[in-house]
Amino acid sequence: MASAIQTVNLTKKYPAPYAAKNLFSAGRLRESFTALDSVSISVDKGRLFGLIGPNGAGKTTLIKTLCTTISPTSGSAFVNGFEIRKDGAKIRGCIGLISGDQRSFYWRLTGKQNLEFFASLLNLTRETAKKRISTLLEELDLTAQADKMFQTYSAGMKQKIAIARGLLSEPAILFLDEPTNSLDPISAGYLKKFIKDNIVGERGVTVLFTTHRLDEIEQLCNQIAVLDQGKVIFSGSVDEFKKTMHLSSYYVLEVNNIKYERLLNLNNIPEIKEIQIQSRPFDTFSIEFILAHSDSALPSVIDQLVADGGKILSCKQEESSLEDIYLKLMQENGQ
Amino acid sequence: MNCRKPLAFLKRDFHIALSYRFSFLLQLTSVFFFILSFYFISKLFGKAALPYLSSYGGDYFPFVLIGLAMANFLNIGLTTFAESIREEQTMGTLEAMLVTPSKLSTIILSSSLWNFLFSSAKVSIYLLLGGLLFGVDFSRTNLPAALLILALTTLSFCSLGIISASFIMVFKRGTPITHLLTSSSNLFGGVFFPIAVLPGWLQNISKLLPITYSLQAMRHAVLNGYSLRTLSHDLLALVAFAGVTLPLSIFIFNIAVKKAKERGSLAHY
Repeated sequence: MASAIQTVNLTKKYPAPYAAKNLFSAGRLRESFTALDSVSISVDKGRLFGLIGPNGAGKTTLIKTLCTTISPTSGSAFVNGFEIRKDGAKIRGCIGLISGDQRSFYWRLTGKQNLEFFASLLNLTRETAKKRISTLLEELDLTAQADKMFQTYSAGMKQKIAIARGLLSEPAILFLDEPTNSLDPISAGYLKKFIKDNIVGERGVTVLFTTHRLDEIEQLCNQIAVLDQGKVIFSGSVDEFKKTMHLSSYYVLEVNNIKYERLLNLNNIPEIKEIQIQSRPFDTFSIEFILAHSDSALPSVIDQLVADGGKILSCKQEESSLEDIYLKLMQENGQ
Repeated sequence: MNCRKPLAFLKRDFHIALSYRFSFLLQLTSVFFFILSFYFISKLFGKAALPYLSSYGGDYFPFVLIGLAMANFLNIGLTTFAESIREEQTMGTLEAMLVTPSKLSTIILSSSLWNFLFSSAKVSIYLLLGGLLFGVDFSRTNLPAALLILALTTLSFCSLGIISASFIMVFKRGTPITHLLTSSSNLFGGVFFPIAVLPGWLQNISKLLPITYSLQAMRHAVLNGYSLRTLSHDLLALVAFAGVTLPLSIFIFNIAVKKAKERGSLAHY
């Protein structure tokens, strides 16, 4: 499958906070801060790619670099086949950017006036702009509010206008930088559905999506990359991510009629990789554990508990959430 | 650059200005009170200022009226680009514009159009009021020469304004050029009084400022009806000034944009 976005060893070093000596000295950037460190990712056309990472990991820098508003220090990147250093205008002609920042509109203009203004910057003819604005307002259920001042809109409506602006040029690639940041669950749900069904499903747009909400990544994304301190520490599918971390599932057993000291015998079973024991009311214990290689060790665990006099109340297998895996990865990476 | 983009900016700014109706009206009405003050100041001077104003017809009010009108353009030319960038940065709209295929230069120039148009309207009101209510005689005005002077003046001031905008692009706040030029132009450029009243060594500073030539030429073209040939000295000075500062300002602005992109601070404020 062809790549819509490809970065090769993309590096961005920000110069130190303002120093007059650096004003006219492009080659002498001292005490720089590395925001992107040899980032290499590939986003397939028509896919929804999730970019996750802690605050300051470099997600927004990567998006802004791909949108050509930040120049990279070294490495290369291609957006829709165009190189970011040479073909800035061509790239900006085939992308859209939607961020969670709702300040990026003129609050004393109406939603429609805002869209008309940005349509002219996107080189759309008057007729095309009129047609697309009308269609988008209808699709986003905003026609009735289109002539009201932007400042009177709710957060959800403002974000819908941001989506309409992002889609005005019918972009091949859309960058979504934490788009659900300020939205309530209903508005966020609507937005996620619209991204998946309309933007990617119907329009076939490639989407690069950053968020802190890992449930969104799990619901939406085909591919993901995890950025930490400017480095890509994982890139692949969500399933591969789970497998890589050996955290695809864990077991939860509830037992009673057993003393806590006896439960510690479980530590002697070599297949148990990680175990957590929590005390519950009525002399009951909840035991969560991960088995190292296969599920065949589960009977040994149950046998041990029964042999120690325990009564098994329930036993279930749970899927690890993406958040568990992400936290573990960050822990391993020294966060 | 086609006309659609500048028109879109004009439409945007018109709607925004109209949404602040009271301020819009206040700005226009303040023009009347402003020139009325200078009308009475001119009455106070009477013929006392005649020796200094003889080459402009001898009357202070028409002299200062043109000075005020041109100073308006000076202020707009010097400040509008920097202010437009700063305003778009603080509103958060600059980044949204920068991810469109439109050039940054188109965005900055178009963002300033409304201010120039509004300033032109204010200058027209100055002149209309001066002519209709206060009896200033414009019958000898050489209109083509006045328009040429206005164009050259705008180019010169805009070049300095673009350099000023470059400072905003990099430093975000503080434009030493604007501050320095506005105060020195008002003091040494002959906005409120003829430079002949200044001591000789201060008059040398006046000769370095484009507004000195603009005002001299404009007053001669409007009040005395001088021909282009007679105005050639001042016109050539303005052409030379614009010829040097315009390419320089574009060069500096490009460096500023490059620096801001390196720092990732294009949209910061």
